[in-house]
Amino acid sequence: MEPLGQFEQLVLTAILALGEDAYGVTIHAKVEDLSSPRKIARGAVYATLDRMEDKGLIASWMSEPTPERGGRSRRHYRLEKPGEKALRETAKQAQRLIDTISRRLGGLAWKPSR
Amino acid sequence: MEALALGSWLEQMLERLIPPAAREAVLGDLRESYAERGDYLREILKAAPYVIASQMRRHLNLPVLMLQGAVIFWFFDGRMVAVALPLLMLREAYRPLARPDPRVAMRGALVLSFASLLVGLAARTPHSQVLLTLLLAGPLSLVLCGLRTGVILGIDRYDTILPDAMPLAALAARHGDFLRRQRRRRRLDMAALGIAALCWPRLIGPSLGLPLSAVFLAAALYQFNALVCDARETPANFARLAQHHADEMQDDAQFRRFICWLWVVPGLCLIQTGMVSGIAPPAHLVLQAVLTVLLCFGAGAINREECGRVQEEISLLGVLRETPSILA
Repeated sequence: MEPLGQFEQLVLTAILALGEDAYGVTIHAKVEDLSSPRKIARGAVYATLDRMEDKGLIASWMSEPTPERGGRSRRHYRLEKPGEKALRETAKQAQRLIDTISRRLGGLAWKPSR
Repeated sequence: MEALALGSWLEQMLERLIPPAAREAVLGDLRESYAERGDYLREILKAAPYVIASQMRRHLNLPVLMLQGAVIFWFFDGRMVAVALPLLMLREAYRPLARPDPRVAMRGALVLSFASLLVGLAARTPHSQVLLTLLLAGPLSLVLCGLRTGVILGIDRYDTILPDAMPLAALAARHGDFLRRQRRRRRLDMAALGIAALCWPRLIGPSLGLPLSAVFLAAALYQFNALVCDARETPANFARLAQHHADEMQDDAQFRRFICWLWVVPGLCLIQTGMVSGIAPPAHLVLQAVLTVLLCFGAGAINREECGRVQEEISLLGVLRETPSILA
């Protein structure tokens, strides 16, 4: 499987964290939160969601229209099995990276949040 | 009051920047996030390039685009290809999600019949013939309206209505039916394109016939390749299957639209060679123009209605929910 790009990792993590409530607005907010203080273009999130859906990493469905959205529906997203697998691989890689750095530098001043 | 009308006009214009396939979700998100109209419009402008590029990528069918490029290159030149291909990609990204409104279609037929005869012929026809040309626009518009009505009624016969929800087995059966029909059509297309490729150099002449034969052969080979290498795995998950089915329908519809226009090209070549000779009397010019309009209008009408039907089904697949199987 093709490895995930950094931005794809962020978007997939946001979908994982949000669970049932993952749609455009919440995903964008979560990605901005995860990549703080960097500002994230909303359009980039939509483009990445489309690309990951085409790769089969996530699936989407439309909800009922709501008045606060001007009578428009939400497109909800959820992680698919290949997406979960790709995210696990990413986490393992990140863990190896942290272990190597902390071994060479004698421990990191911060701990990765769980 | 005037500012309000201008604002809502501007809002509608900017909202139309977002391609139809993404409009519902993206504009809903932006409306939810920004209460102020100014912020809302600014965010549409910021998001639009990403969404347009993404939809262009999603709707890109490279083999079909290459075939379109080959036709344009042979009949025009490289510069035209450079202009036309991005426009064709953009056109795919902005495909409407439903069939055209019949009233709009009829209005289009009327406008086209008068405009084509006025603009296309008045410049080439002596002044004494202009009245004849205008008088001809009436019957022509009736013929075009009849043609369009026939196409609309023909497409109406298809059963496109999808329920709100269905079990996985029913969706898989629907997908299986589609694949079977697609395979049958591919075989027929392949045979027809191959035979036609052999005929064009004799019928049209080698200068136009040979390039046209090459494109017909390439299209036949594309169908042959699709038939032989048709081994894409069908997903067992409902959402993935719906997406997969929509993608397959999208690809098939893109190729069918191209094929429809490809069959028009030899007819246009024959009409064009008659026009280029320049010795045809005005009545022949009128006849040739009418034939060109009929050919192009017919192909355009079939493509619009058929494409609308497919897009309607794709949109319905996007909101389709899974119900438990009755057997389960």
